Amino acid sequence: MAGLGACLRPKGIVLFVVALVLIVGGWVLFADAVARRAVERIGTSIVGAKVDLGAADVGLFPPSLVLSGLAVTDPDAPMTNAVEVARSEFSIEGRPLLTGRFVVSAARLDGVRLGTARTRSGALTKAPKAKKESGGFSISLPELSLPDANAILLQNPLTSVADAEALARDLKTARAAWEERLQGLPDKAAVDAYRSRVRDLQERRPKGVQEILATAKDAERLRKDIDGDLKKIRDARSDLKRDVAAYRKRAKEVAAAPAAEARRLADRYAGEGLGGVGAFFLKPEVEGIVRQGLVWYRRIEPVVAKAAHRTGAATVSRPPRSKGAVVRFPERNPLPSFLVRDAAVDVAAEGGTVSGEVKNVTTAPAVLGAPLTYAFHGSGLKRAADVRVEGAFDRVDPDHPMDRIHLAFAGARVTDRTLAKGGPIPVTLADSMADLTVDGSRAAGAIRGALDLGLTGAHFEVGQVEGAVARAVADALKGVHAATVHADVSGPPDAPEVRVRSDLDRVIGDAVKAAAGARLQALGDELKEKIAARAAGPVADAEAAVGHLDDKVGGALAGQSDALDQLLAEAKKDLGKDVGKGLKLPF
Amino acid sequence: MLRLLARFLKLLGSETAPGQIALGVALALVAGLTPLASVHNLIVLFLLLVLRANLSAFLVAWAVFSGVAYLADPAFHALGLWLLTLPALEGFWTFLYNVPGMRLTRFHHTIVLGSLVVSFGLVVPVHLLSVAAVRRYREQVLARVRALKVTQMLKANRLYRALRAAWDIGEGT
Repeated sequence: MAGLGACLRPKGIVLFVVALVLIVGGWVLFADAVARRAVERIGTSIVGAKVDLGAADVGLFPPSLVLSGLAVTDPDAPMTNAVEVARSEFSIEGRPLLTGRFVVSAARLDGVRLGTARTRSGALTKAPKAKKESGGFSISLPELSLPDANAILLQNPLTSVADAEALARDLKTARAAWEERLQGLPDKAAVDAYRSRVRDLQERRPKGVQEILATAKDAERLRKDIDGDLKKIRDARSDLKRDVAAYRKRAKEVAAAPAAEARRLADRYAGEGLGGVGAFFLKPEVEGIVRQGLVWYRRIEPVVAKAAHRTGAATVSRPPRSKGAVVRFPERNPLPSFLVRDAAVDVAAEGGTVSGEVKNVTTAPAVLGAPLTYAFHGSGLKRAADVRVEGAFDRVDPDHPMDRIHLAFAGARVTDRTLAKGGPIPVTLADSMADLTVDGSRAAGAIRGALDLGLTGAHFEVGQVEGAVARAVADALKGVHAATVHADVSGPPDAPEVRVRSDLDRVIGDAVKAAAGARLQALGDELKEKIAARAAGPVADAEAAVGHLDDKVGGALAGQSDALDQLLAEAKKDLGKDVGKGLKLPF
Repeated sequence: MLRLLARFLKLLGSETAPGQIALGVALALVAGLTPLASVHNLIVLFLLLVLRANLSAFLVAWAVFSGVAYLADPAFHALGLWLLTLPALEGFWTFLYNVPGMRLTRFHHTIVLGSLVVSFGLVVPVHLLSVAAVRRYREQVLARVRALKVTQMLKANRLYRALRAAWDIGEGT
C-alpha cells in the first residue's frame, strides 16, 4: 500500500474532477455562444451574405437547440432579409450524436417572414463571387408595321404553287397509266375480228342437230366475248369519269388556292406583327414570377445538392481548416451527418399564416434514401384567398437530380401593377383578381415548367398614346376584363427560355387588324397577285392535263364502246333469225 | 516560459525522484504529439494528476513535443492514412467506426491515429531514457556546474541571494 501511495496523488483525483467540472461547466456556459457563432458562420458561408442570430439555447437532457431571432440576408439585396425566423426549436436525437451525427427528429419554425427590412447591410465585406446572371429574359417592343409582300413570299414556301405542281405531276402519271390501260382494252382490230366471226356465223348453213348445236355454241361464245370486252370498256369509262372528276375538283381548288393563301398570310403577319401585343404586356410579369422562383431555386439548390456518395468502401475526405484527413468506413445503419427529419414551419403573411412542413432536410439524401419534400398551405390571406405550394428536391441519386414544384395561388388580388412603363403604349393593371398555377420540374440538367395565370375583374389603365394602331390597342385593353396567360419554361436553370401566349393576343390583334384594315387589304391583294402569278403556270398545266385525260382517253374509250355496241346490235339483227327447224341463235 | 524553464532546471537539481520527472515527460509526449482537443488527452490529464508525475516536467516537455508535432504532422498523416487504409485492418476500423462514441475519439483522423501510434510506441523508451538522463545530469553535469568558480561567486553575491529569495517568494505564491 505504501508503494501505491508513493505512486498515487490522492489530491489529483480531486483536481481531475475539478478540471472535468470546469471543462463541462465551461462548455455549458459557452455552448450557447458557440452554437450562435457556429450558426452565423456556417449560415453566412452557405448564403453568401450575413446570417445573424439573436440567441441560441443548447439543451442537454434531452438534447435540443432553440434559436431566436434568425435573420438571413438576401445576397442580392443586402438591406433585406430573405427570411427571418422569430423562433425555431430543434429536438435532437441523442444516439446519433455519439457517432458525430446531428439528427433533428422534429423541428418547429415559428414567425417565419420573408423579405423583411434590415437596419444594417448584410453584405459581406468581401463580396462573394458574382454569379453569372441569367441572360434568358429579353423584352422587345412588338413590331407595329406590316411586312413587305416580297419579304413574306421569301420567308414562306407557297403551298398553292406546290399543290398545283403536285397536281400536274399526278396528272402526268395518271395519263401514262391510262394510256397503258388503253393498250389492254379491245381496239379496232378486235372489233374487226368480232365482225369476221359474225360473218362466219352468218355464212354457215348447219345441217342436222349436231351442226346446229355447234353453231349455236359458237354464237354463244361470240356473244360472251363481245359482252366481256364491252364490260371492260364500260368499267374503264366509269373509272376515267371518276378520276377526271377528282382531278377537276383538285384543279379547281388549286386555281382558287393563291387567293386563299394570300389572305391567310396577310392575316398571319398581321397577327404576329400586331396582335402579339397581348403577350408582350404580360410577359414581363410572367418572367418576373419565373425569375423569382429560379432565384430561390438557385439559392436552395446548392445546399441540397451536397449529396455525398456513400458506398460500401472506405472513403477519405479532407476536413476543412485542418491538416490530415478523415477516413470514413461503411456504416451498419448509415445516417447523414446532418438531418432534419420533420420541420413544421409557420410563415407569417399579411392577414394570416402559411403553414407547412419540410421533411428530410439533409446534405446527404443518397445516404438517407429519401428526397427532401415540402408542402405549405395558407388560406384567407390578405393578398390571396388560397395558397398551396408543394414539391421535392430529389437528390437520392446525385447524378440524376429530379426536383419538382407545384404552386397554386387562388383569388390573389393584384393592384397597380405597371405592365409597360413608357414606350408606345404605357399600361397599368389597376385592379384584378388573379389565379396562378405553376408546375415545374428539373431532370437531366434542364428545367421544364408550365405557368397559367388567369385574370378576372381586370381593369387596365392606358396612358397617353399616339397613332391609330396604338389607340386601337389602348381601346381594346380598356375593354378587357378577363385574360389568361400560359407560359412554357424550358432549358438550363441559369438561362431558361420562356414562351408566353395570351388570349389578349386575339383581342388586341382583332382591334389592330380593324385599325390597320386598309393596309391589310392592300397587303392581301398584293400577295394574291404575286402568288397567282407564280401558280399560274402549274395551274394551267394541271387544267390542260385534266382536259387531255378527259378528251383523248375518254374519246378513245367512247369510240371503242360505240363500235362494240354497234357490232352487237348488228349481230343481233343478222344472227337472231331462224337458222332452220324453228331454231334461233342466242343473240 | 523562461520561468518554467528555470523551474525545470531547478527541478533537475532537486531531490525529486527521476521517475516522477520521467513520467511527466512521457505523458507530455502523448499530449504534445497528438492533437490537444482529443478525448484520449483526458486520460493523459487524469494520469498526470493522479499519478505522481511532475507537472513542471510535463509542461516543459509538452511545449517541446508540441513543436516537434508541428513538424512531424505530415509523417503522422502518412502513417495514419496507411494504417486506416490497410486492407488487413479494414474490418477492425469498420467495427470501431460503428461503435457508438468511438468516432468522438477521432481515431479515423489520420493525424490523430498516426501521432497516437507513434507516441504510444515511444512512451516507454522515452520514460526510461528520461530517468537515465535525469540521473546522468545530476551525477555528472550538475556536480560540475556546482564546482565551477563562477557558480560559487554568483551564489556568494548579495544580488543573487536577493533574487533567489524573491524567486522563492514568487514560487510560494
